Formats: sequence, structure tokens, C-alpha cells
Amino acid sequence: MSAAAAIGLGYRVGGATLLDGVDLDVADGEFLGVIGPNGAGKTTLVQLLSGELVPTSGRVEIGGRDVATMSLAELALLRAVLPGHHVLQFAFRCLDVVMMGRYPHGGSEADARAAADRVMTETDTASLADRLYPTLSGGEQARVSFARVLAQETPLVLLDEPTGSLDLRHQELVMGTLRDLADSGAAIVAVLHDINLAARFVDRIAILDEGLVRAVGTPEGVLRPDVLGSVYGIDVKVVPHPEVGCPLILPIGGGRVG
Amino acid sequence: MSESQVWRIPVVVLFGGLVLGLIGAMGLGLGMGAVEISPTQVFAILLDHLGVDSATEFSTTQDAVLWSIRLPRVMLGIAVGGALGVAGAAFQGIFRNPLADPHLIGISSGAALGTVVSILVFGGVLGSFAGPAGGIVGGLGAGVTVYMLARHEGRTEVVTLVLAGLAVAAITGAGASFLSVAADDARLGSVLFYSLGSLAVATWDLLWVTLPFVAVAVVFLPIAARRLDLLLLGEREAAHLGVDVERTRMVVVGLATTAVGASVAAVGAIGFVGLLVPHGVRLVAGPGHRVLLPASAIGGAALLVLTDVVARTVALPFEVPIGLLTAIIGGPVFLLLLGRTRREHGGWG
Repeated sequence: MSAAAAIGLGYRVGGATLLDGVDLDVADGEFLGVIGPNGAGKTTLVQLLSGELVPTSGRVEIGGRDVATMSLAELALLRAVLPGHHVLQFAFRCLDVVMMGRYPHGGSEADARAAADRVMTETDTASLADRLYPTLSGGEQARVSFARVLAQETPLVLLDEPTGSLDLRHQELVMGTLRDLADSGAAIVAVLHDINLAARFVDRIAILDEGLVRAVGTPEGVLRPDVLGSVYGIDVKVVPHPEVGCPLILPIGGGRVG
Repeated sequence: MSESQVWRIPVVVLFGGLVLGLIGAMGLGLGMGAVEISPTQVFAILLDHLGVDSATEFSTTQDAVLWSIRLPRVMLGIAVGGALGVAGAAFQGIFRNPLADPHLIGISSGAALGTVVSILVFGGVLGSFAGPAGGIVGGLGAGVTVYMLARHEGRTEVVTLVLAGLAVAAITGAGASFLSVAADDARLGSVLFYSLGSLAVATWDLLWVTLPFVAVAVVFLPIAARRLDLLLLGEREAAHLGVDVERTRMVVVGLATTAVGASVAAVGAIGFVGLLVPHGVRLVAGPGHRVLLPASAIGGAALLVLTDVVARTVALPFEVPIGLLTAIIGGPVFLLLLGRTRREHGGWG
């Protein structure tokens, strides 16, 4: 069944249309990657799906219910959100930060602690548990925030560039964790910039451009030179990945202004 | 130990230390002054008022000084110090900024103006509640104004917050002083009273009209502790975790301003307590509000009672305005904090 769906979703602010008539859904157990050039509306899509922004047209459904009719507390049990950047400046320990992810469940301190320990092991952040969040590097902060989002244990997880500031190993780790999460039944929607990374891990890719969905489908189906060429305005060559066979995108030029 | 590693004082030790500090400050506040009263005499006088006789001798002067002057003064110091400490911690949480002291962001001066206007206009109708009522309304007015000015696209800008606070404090502070001079009304006291503060006005009556407003904040603010923690993650993140950010903000600002407004109405605007105490607590116990809020209340109480002892004994027979002393300690700490914020976050925009 559909875990989340955008139905005729549009968002307009100050005369600009950031998203227009988007129809998109993600099923339980599915990993959907959202790609597209800067300003395509990817972050707006995540904000609308999460219920953070109220659509100016269309609607978002989570678990078959209109998000606009749900309370923040209800939503917090159904979906977790990893924003694109992190603003915490107060000296919480990373363990405390991850435990905050348990707030919607209202359980005991011990439950929160147990869940936090588990996800921190899964995400390779256990060694950061006693460090102070503001003293971490940007990539480390992103990993701890990722652990916090997983600690929320929701059937739907929305992520805005979860791998943006990570090194190669941790990119793999985060994508692998999300893949496992989807395989165990969760629905994942992740905005990703690295198309090759997306191609190897996701079930379906949605390509967003100028507020419109330009293509949705399997990586093999949508990652074609003509589609990518027109969306990104560059020439690309698509070859099969020598090891795993998924599409591998090689830019070959054309990145010119105008 | 590297800088990033955490050293945290056990919660029991923290609260034990703070309570001992408060008791010590109370002992000094009750015993020290022109009329000396020994600790055993303090106990004897207090017991005497509870109807218990003790062997210790004390004079009627000592009894009068302790019961009518020092005890209400120490108690008012506890109430006001507790209010400023807990409110400072609450404002810093809501604004997600360790520099948000109620004094610096204009709330105290707004409360002073509200108090003066209220006493002049409604003094006859509301009686002794005119002060706290006006202080709370004035504080809220200033707080809302500064907040609206400093909000931009869903976040609070530090520079604008402090500058708007400065402007609102200048305007409302000048207004309060002007009215104090122009009205020449005995109920308002000296011009300096509202800008520097003094606990010399303490009476039991003043304590009873101030205490309820402070108690409401000290008791109810900690209920929002978890939500304040989550707000520090960011307003979006807090909302994603199920926190009604707007409602939390209204309740917390309302409670904290109530405490500050009533305090300013009672003893004038005393700065930096709300900055120093939560900062000190965060250094040793971390930023979590479940510990920070109550610890800041006790710490604020102890600091203000102690500072008041210094204020009234350091230059005998004169009293130094207590706000001067808190500024002498607090100003440099504020500068240090500014420097640190700047180093850590690459500026304060």
C-alpha cells in the first residue's frame, strides 16, 4: 500500500511556483530517490510531504490520511524528517541528541537510551556518543542527526540530502542503512545529489525540474542521456556499472552558462 | 581531557551545592549589617516568632531588624533572583541563544515602564497589584516587539535581537525615568530605582504581591523542559518531533515574562543575573532544561541574596544599587560570551 502520496501537489509563494501538480507516491518497503538540479523544488517537496509546509494546491497523504488533518504528535509517530542542514549550537552530548528522537514515543528514559544505543551502533556513531554535538565536524553532525531520525522509528522517513557532507565510506553506510530499512518495510524518500549513489541503492527515482516531475521510474528506466541532458543541461554518457550493473552516469561536458 | 569531551557534575551534587549556597547566602543576609545578629540568635528570633522559646538571648532591636527588615528582604531576594535565573534560562532556550538575558532584550525596561504607568494610572484601583500587573503587561509588550523585529524567515537573528532589545530598553527605560521625575509621586521612588534596582524596598506586603507570579513561573516552566530541549535542535526539527512550537513559545515567554515583570515591579530592573546563572549551570551540567531551569532558579536566588549582602555592606552606611554590582560581574562575562559565540559560530548573525 502507499505509505505516502503527493496528489496534484503544488506550492506557490510570492508569485513564484516552487512545485506544480506533483503526483508521486512511495510504497511501504520502497526506497524512492529524488534528484534534480538546484532550485528544482526538491527541498520544498520534502517540506510538503512532512507537513511542515501547507500546500497551496493538492494534498499529501500519509498512510491514506490527509496530512493537513493530522496533529503534529500523530505525524511524529508516522514520519521522521532529516533536514538539509543542522542548527543545534548548544552543547548537548550526541547521545542526548539521538535520544531526542524518541520524544514522540513518550517512553521511559531507559527505552530511549536503549533505542539510541542501537541506532548509534547501526550508524557507526557510537564512538561519538559522549562528544558534544557542536564540536563535531559537519559530516559527523550529519551522521548523528541521521541517527536521531532513525531513533524516531517511523514507517516513513524523509531525508533532504542525507549524504551531502559525508565521506565515501559514510555515504555508503547511510545509503546501506536506508536500503536495509526499506527492506524491513519502511518507506524512504531521500533527496540526493549524487545520481550514481542513488542509482545503486534506490528502487525508483523521481527527477524533479522547475517544480515539475519530469520522470519517475527505476534507475534503468529514467537515467537516460536524453532525460538527464535536458534536465541538467549537460551531455552525459550512461554506461552499465561494471560491478553491479546499474546505470553509471558519466558527464562528458556541455556545462555552459545559457 | 580534550575540549570536546564532556565533564558533567552529577545532578545531586549540583543541586546539593546550590541549596547549600543559598542557605549560606541567607545566613549572611540575615546576620550581616549595621546590627549584628549571630546565627544562633537568628534561629532564636525565628523560633520565637513561631511561638517556641529558646535559651539564646536577643534584643528587641535585633528582633525588629531581623523580622521586619532582613527576613522580607532576603525572601524577596530569593523570589526575584529565582525569577531572573529561571526566566533567563527560558528566554535563552526559546530564542535558541545563550545571550538572551531578559534585561538585554528589553523586557526588564519594558516592565519598568509598565510598572510606572500602571502605578500612576491604576494605582488607586488595583492597589499594590498595580505594580506587578503593569510590569507583566509592559514586559510582554517589550518582549513581543523585540521578538517580532528579530524574527526573519522563521529564525531569530542575534544581532537584531540584541539591537532591537537595546532600542526598546532605551526608549522604555527613558520613559520610565521621565515619568518618575515628571510625576514626582512618592509611590515611584527615586529615578535610579527602576534602572538599577534595589531590594531596600522589601516588606512582607511586597513579597506577597510578587511571590505568586514568580512561583507560577518556577513551578510551571520546568513542565516545558523537554520541549525546550527539542527546540534547541531547531524549530523545524522540534515540529517534526511533534512539538507545537508556536504554543510552546507563547506559554514559555508568557510565564518567564510574568516572573520578570513582577520582579521588576517590586525591585526594579536588575541585569545579568539571567545571563550569568544559566551560563554557569550549562558549563557544569549541560544545556538540558530539566536540570537547567530549576538549577537556574536556585542559583539565581543564591546569587541575588549574596549580591544584596555586598550591596548593603560594602560601602556602609550607604547602599550600592544592586544592579551596579550585577553589571560589574555580568558585563565582562557577557563580553566573554560574545567573543566565544563569535569564535564558535563565525560571527553572530
